[in-house]
Amino acid sequence: MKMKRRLKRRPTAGSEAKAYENIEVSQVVQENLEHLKNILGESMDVKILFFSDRPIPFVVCFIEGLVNKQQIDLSILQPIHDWQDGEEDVIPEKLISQIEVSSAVSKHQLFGHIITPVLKGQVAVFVDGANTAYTIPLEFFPTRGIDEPESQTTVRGPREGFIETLQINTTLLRRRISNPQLRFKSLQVGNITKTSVLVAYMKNKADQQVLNEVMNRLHNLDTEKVFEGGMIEELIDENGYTPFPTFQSTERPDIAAAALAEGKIVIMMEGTPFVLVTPVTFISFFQAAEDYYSHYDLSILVRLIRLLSFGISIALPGVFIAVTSFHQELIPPNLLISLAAQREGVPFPAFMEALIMEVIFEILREAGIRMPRPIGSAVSIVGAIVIGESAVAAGLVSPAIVIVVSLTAISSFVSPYYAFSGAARLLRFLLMVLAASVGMYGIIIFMLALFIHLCSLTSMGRPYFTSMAPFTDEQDDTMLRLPFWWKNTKFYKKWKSQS
Amino acid sequence: MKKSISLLLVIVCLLLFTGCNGRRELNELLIVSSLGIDLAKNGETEVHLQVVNPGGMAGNQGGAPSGGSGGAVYTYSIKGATVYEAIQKAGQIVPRYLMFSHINSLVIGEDFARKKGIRPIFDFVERNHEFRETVPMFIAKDSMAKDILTLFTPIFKNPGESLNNRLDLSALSTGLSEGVQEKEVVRWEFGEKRDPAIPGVKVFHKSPKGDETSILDGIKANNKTFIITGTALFKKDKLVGWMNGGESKGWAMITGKTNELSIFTKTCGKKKGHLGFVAKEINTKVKPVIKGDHISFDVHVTGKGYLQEVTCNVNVGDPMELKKMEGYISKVVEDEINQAVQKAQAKKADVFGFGRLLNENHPEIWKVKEDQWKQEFAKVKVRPIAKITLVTTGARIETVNQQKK
Repeated sequence: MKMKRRLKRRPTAGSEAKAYENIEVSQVVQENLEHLKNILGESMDVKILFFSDRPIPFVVCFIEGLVNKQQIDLSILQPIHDWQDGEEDVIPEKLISQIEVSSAVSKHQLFGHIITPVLKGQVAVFVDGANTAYTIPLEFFPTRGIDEPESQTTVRGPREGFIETLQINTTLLRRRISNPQLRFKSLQVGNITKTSVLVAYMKNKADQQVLNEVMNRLHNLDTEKVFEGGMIEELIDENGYTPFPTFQSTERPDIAAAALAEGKIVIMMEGTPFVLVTPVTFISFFQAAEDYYSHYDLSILVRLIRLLSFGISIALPGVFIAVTSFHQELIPPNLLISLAAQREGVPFPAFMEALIMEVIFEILREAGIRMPRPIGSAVSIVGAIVIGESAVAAGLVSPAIVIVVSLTAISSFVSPYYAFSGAARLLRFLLMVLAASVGMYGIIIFMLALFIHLCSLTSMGRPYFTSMAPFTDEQDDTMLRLPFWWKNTKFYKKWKSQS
Repeated sequence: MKKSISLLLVIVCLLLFTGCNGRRELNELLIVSSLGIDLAKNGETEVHLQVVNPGGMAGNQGGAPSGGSGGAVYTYSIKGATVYEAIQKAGQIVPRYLMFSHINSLVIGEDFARKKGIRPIFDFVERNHEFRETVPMFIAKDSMAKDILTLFTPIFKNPGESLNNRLDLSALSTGLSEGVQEKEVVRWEFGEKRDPAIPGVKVFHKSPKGDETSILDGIKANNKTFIITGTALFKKDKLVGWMNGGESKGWAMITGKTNELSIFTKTCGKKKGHLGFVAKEINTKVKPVIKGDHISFDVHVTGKGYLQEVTCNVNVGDPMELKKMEGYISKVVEDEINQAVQKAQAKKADVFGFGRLLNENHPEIWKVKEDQWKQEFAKVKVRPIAKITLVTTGARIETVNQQKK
């Protein structure tokens, strides 16, 4: 219900701008020319070429920089000129069949159907005497080369990453899945930006219900602009109030391909190297691509380490505060004594100490991301030396809290998905407040609430915490990454036949 | 919407209204590491609180500017009618909140144990939620608890820890592999109708400067260390006597408090010299044997012997000789057990829990004997049956002495 309310928003984009959409293409090419000039205006990159002195006058319209101009000369203008010069009985209907392009030429009667393709790099041709216009795909624009993904690196595994160009991204997927069942459905999102969005899925694998749900939500999406998957994610997510991401955003084609092969749905869009995978589960945020490329025993260890680090990054400062200010009897005597020695002369309570250090760390982290590259070393010197060491030496905080905060910070970088560590980052502060006010009791209450919340989440209508709750038989790739031959083992077969 | 907001408000209030009850920062705490209890001259109870000075304890490792000075521990002493009253009064002399959860040892002065008995301290110790019931107990032999708790010790800066650790780690010759915990004493005394026995401790060589940190500077260690010596025998809750070293070992073996101890023989059969062993994996089983009106107890001790030292002229390589050695060790073990039993019987203190064993195995006889068990215990026959098998002769076979000839 929450979801529907958020999706059914009133149209926002100005309706006067839509007036052109229903203008029909006229038989008189000059009229069309006028319409084009009205709609596209005097922009310098809009090229409207009117060949009026030909037997059949025609107009070619395209956006400079989005199309291959050489191809226009060679494949469109040249053949038409040759044909008009050579033939005797030139009729408008035959003009378009003269052009020599490999991609499909589409016919349109309404300007509404012509303008958007033109803006996306197609060439429009209006012919005098015909009440149809043609669009010819001749997109050509500079793209970035395929690079190694920066946000998700692996030691072993492919080094290709998605880029900002949709077409190249689909190629990257196709090259990994050469299967006719791989389908891409296209649609446009954003009343202003008209961004191309593709929904990729395996027809025989994907859950039809989930697919319909995704398409439905994307169609109903009413927004002015989208530039990144995150903007779509927030708008079509059914869980409004949760710190946990319910879409996986990845820039690795191998992850996206694996998700497709598992029957998940991938949402890709023009202009960002990140694609969205849905539906996802809680545990899938602990599954890195490398888990499947290295030997299973190592993967099991690494995945357990990842779960541990997630726990640390949520709870360590909270637990430290609770234990040192409420439950000192839990600390081994010698550790307690050395913690107490560090605290001698520290003016703030443990909670304030932790909060100060956490906030300082968050500031450093944000500065580290946002600052211009050349300043980097200055920030790290100030961060590491001045704040780490001098804060202790000045008696502002105790050394133990520096260890706690830095361990927490390092743990939060272990998650293979950046968005997921953000959840831990937010919840950490809440837990610290609870721990500082009611101690371990607060931590337990928090954990209970957290698990209840996780169990109540859904991703595209599918339970988020599944394979743990609701518990399923498919446990071979959850907390542990069991070997690929797991299902052929005697143990598994026996267990399966018994249950 | 209104509902959820009000629910949220209630939750926030619930959290905030608890305040920060029970919250204590580490620098508001005084960690008590040992508790000593003495009988004051006027008959009151004197309590000694040995507290940790974290700065002094951690030395320079803490980076905090004001840490790292003073002694590692300090001892506050205060008198009161009861233990609890004294500790409450201590609130007036100590600068921080006293925390008892990390207590290392509970030392009771001999006078207090003899005259007042240990019973009065248990209610407070059991009732207090901070006090660990696993804290080991010691009796300050021939001295006051104050003497034990006012000595700086080297190696372990925390004397309580030092005291406690020598039982766990290094005291083979006492036969005790673990201390006697407070909860055991309570269980023996109040649950099992058994008389407690608690290891004794005293300062090895008394020194007038023992309570100053400067004592730690000298190289001689004997004047700044404790010695675990003997075991205090209690009758009900009053100290009635001491078992010496051998008797203590016997007691430890019968009660299963040992699994490793050293054994010395004064002779090698008929030859002059000594044999030294370590016995490991000692296992004890005590069985009551009823024959008509006679009650006796069989104490089966098994274990493994490791030869450590031979100073007499025997052929260690000879299997027959080794068989004999096994006999010698077993003899020593049996003697020690006998001595322990004799001492306990002389004091009529059933520190072995024989009464309870009888109750468990022959409840009908126990019902008859329960009332005059103390008299009965003094007459009971105890038959020690030791079987220590020699496992190894160590890194060599023949003795050095033998080779010379």
